[in-house]
Amino acid sequence: MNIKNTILATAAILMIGSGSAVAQSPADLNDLEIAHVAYTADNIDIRYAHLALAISTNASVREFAEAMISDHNAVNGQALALLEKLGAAPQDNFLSQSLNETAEMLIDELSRLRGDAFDHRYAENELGYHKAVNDLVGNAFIPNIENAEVKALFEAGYEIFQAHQSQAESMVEGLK
Amino acid sequence: MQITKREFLVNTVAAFAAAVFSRQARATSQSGVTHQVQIRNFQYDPEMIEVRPGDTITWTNHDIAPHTATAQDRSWDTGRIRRSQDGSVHVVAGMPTDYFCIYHPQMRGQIKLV
Repeated sequence: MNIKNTILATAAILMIGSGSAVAQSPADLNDLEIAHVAYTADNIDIRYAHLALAISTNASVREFAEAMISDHNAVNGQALALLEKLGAAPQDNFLSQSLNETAEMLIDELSRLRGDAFDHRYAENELGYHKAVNDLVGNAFIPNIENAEVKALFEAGYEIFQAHQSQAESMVEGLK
Repeated sequence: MQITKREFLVNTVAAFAAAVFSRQARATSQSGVTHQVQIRNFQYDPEMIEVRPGDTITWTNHDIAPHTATAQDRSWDTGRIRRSQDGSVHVVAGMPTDYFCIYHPQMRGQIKLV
């Protein structure tokens, strides 16, 4: 099961069991929980990228990884600055925890791979990961964010992640 | 020949003006014109810019993501341009004219030397 399917399946299972006041669906998360998910997703991709720089010798993989570190750090920096301005802190939630659990498994898998096997797995995961995150951000998060400044930041982030998805598609194609 | 006070003043002012204009002319030819390129939504605007040797190109990044303007052969580079910051390159004859963002290679721009 790839990362996109894992994220969507996890979200779907949690949605089916929803009955409590605690948000169990991505669409039910409040702004601070959404911010936490985004911050978590950024940090996960930064971790994948550092792993790629440690293992891969492929130029396109390394360039992509450098871009992920640069861009996701920039987005997180803007997010933290906005939260500080708003006097708010991101709130941990089921989706952040699910993303972290999935990431741990994938990092364990990736760290055992070398050469082409690593490059292909990393590239395919990046494509799936950005597709999944873009689905979440575009369809569940942005329509439900209440604070205008937080929404504007997510809209800007969404453009970046869509560009990443396009870059990941090129990386996957280039490795074939 | 005697120079009147009025002639002396006129000559002095003319000489001063000539010196100032001469210096300005040299500064213009040395520093050239500064051209602005905006970076928004992962695009250079304008994508193609006409410049002359001696000019300067300044890129301003409006995206959250950092960008660069880097020659395809990497012979010149603005370095990382963070949000709301500028990066500049001095135009020289014969410089490579196709450039891209080192972080986002799908971003392409072109310089036209005239």
